[in-house]
Amino acid sequence: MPDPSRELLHGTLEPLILKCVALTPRHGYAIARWLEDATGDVLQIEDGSLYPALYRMEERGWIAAEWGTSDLGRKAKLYRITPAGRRRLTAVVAEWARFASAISKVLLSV
Amino acid sequence: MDFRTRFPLRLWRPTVDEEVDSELDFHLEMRTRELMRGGLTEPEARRAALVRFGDVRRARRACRAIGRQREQRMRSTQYFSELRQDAAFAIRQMLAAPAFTSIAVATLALGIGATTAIFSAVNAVVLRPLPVPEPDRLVVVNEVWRDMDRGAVSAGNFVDMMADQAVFDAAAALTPVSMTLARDEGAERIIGVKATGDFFRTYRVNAALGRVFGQQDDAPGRDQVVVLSHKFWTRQFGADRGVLGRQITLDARPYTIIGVMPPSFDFTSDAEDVWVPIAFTPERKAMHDEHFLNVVARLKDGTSPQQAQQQLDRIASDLRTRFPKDDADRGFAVSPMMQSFVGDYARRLIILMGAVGFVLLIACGNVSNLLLARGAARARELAVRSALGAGQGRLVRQLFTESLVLGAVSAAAGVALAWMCIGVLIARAPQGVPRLDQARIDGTALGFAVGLAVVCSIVFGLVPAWRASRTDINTTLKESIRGAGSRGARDIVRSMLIGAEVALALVLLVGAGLLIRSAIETARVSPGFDPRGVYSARFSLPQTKYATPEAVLHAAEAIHDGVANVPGVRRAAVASNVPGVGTFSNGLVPEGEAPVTENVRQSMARFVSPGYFEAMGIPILKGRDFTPADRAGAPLVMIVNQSLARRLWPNQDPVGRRVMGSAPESDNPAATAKVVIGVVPDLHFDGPAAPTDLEFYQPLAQLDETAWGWTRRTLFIVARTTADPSSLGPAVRRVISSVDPAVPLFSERTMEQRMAATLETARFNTMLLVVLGIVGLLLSGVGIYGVVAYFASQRTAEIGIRMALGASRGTVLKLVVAQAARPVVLGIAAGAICAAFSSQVLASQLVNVRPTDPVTFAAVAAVLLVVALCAALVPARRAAGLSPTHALQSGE
Repeated sequence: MPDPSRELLHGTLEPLILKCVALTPRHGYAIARWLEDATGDVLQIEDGSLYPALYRMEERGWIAAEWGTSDLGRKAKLYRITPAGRRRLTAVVAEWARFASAISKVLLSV
Repeated sequence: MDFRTRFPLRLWRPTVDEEVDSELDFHLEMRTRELMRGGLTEPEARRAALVRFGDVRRARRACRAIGRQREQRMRSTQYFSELRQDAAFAIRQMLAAPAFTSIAVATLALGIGATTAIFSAVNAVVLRPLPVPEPDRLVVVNEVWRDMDRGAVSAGNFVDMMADQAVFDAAAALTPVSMTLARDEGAERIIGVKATGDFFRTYRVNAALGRVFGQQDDAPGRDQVVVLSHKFWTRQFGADRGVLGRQITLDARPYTIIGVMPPSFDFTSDAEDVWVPIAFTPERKAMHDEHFLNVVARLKDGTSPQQAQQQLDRIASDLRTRFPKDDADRGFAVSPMMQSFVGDYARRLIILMGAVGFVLLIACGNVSNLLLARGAARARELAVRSALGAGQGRLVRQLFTESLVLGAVSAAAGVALAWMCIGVLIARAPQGVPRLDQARIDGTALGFAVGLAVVCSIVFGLVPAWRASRTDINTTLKESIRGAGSRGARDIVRSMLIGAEVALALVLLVGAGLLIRSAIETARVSPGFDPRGVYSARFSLPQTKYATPEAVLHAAEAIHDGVANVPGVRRAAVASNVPGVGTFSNGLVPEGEAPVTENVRQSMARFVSPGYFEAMGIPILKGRDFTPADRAGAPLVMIVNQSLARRLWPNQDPVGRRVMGSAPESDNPAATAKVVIGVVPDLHFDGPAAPTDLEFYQPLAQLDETAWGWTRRTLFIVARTTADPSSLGPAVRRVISSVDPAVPLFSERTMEQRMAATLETARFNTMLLVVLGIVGLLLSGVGIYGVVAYFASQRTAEIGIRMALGASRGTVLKLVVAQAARPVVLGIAAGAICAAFSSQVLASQLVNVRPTDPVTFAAVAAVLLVVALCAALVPARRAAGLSPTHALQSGE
């Protein structure tokens, strides 16, 4: 079982995925790996929860998928960000910044 | 055109489930490989990957659910966007081919417009229920007598029938009457109905203002109440709500206005103005032999017309026993009101509906052919699209959308056309077609037009779409390079369409041709009198003022003498009837035969003044005319027509013989026997298209009170003039008002107008059918032209080769024409067989022409052949005029 303290903070998975595919189109496994690397294993995501999130985001139109060829020459589903997804990302980042600064102010003040 | 956006490439498109599985498998495999690179063995790595993943099944279920939902939403969005694309594409296609579009739309609009116009008429006259509660419960009751099944009912029979029956909720006897309305200046004729007390209860209609009359008003002494129609109320009183309680004078009797009916209680265009109680006297209620009443009845709930008929049959048999003299051979007939109300018009309109339906089918055939030709031209485009991944279903759907768009545009144009046609139809239609003036483009007609457009689109879109769906990509792509379609099958379809169009046109033209022949035959029929230069009009002498025969006769003679002295009048006369208007009959028995039913010759009675025959131009064939000496008190005389003379005394001289029956009557018929003093020819009394009758004439001066009752004291004044008969009106009016200013003059017509009016309906029907026949002929001509032109263009290369090898122009002409000849000839043959059956529906409208008249059939077939030949020759001549080099080049 993953350490509870390292569990993903509620609601942060989707912004992270958006950030990830905003850089370059990736398939699901690559996204999982990027999340591990980028958060330096601080956040550990259960792989199984990644995919429903991806499908949900695709349905909402933030990301789009098409079938392409992976590094290994196998067919894989590649996700890329859509314009709507970019707008969402900007909004979420701004929100996070406000939230983080507010919480920091409280928690870090002596 | 961007094919990619319309038909996106789908090289590999898995289902949602496959997609999810494959994505998750890929993930697990990648993770396993990574762990193996970290030093684990494969089974360990796989297990670790699964642990890391969590609940695979839950993830899979969640993904699949979201995926499916998304798939469904996309499919419906795609469907609608494709539909929109198809429609937009169809419109672009139509705009890109304006010639094709305008011909197709015009053809279809013509068909849809004509059909919708006729449908609106059928809907207004036949289909719409009567505007009363539960109209299907309403029936009419007639008396049947020998072969007459639409006879009027006598007051005695009505009263006795009502006393015995238990099948009707309510019933009423009524008789339409022409009444004189006294006004401040002069008098006016209005149409009234005298009815028994339950008249309004039978219809279950109440007054819009005031009350209707009921049983309590329907008795002598209490009957001077009147209910006004909405139309009359508006016309005469400017819709004044204060009319209740006021009095009007009808036939010199004061009546109190008690109610005004709603506008919907107005079934026909020439409906009645007022309703008054009929108020039978006890003597009238006992009278069984004067048949003048119409009977309407409302069936009890759960009683069928058949059950009512059974009960009335039983009552009729009782009546025959109780009144063996008056009710011998008599019975009752119950028929649904709607049926008797629209009667013959329903039949005529439905024939018309069939005819326009044929025109519509021909129009569909033409558009189908046009679409086929375009389909051939577009075979390559469709094949390319198919090769790029568009499914067959998708292509068929696109072609159907194009048909539907075409149908929708045509329906819009057709409704506009129908709107105009209805105006013409109402204006030109003969008088008296019930409710025709209410025909309009309403929701029902609009729905009909739209439905028609959809059905037509499917009909004419079906063949081309079916052809397109069967197109084999490879063949088409290859063949389109060579410039030839898969010819055989398509040519058969085209030929069949042409054959069917020709057959339909022939059926239409045979109908039109038969009616034209009938009209020619009718024009040849001599009416038996000379209608040229004869003026006629009616006047009515109120019974209250002119009660005795002497008084009526005195006024009639004064009017006659006055008119006879008008300058330009050569001969004037007064008569109870003139050809074309009204009639009553009497039973005659020759002296020497027993006065029993079997010996009675039912004959048409005409009561006339001396000089009538001269004024009407009827020659006296034998004997003499009436003279002023044939008066009351002098020996009773009669003039018979040839048919009656033959029927009464075959091969014998009728002059001087005596006949019993008609007025004046007495208990001893021999005492009132009349001497035949002359013979006149048979008249076509109801117009040249109607059969002749047994007729007899009696002098007005010898009529008794009963016979004056039959005439309702309404007489015709006729005058043969040297001047224009239609200019006589003012002079006659002056004469009438000098005799009695309260007597109205009405129904002024020349006798030529009266005769023409009897043919009005026939002429109108003929005109419509001829117009439809010509439209059908032209449309099928255009269809033949189109197909022959197509055949010729398909064979350009072949023609070039033939000409290069020495074929003459004549040979080429024959070659091209012959290809079209076969379907045309087959179509004519098939059409002739159909027409032989279908023309039977016209049988009742034909005079001296059989429905299978070979002359008409031959003439129509010849006309069709000539038109077909002309339509084929134009493109054939063009083909034969090609230079071989040009033909061969274009054929490459």
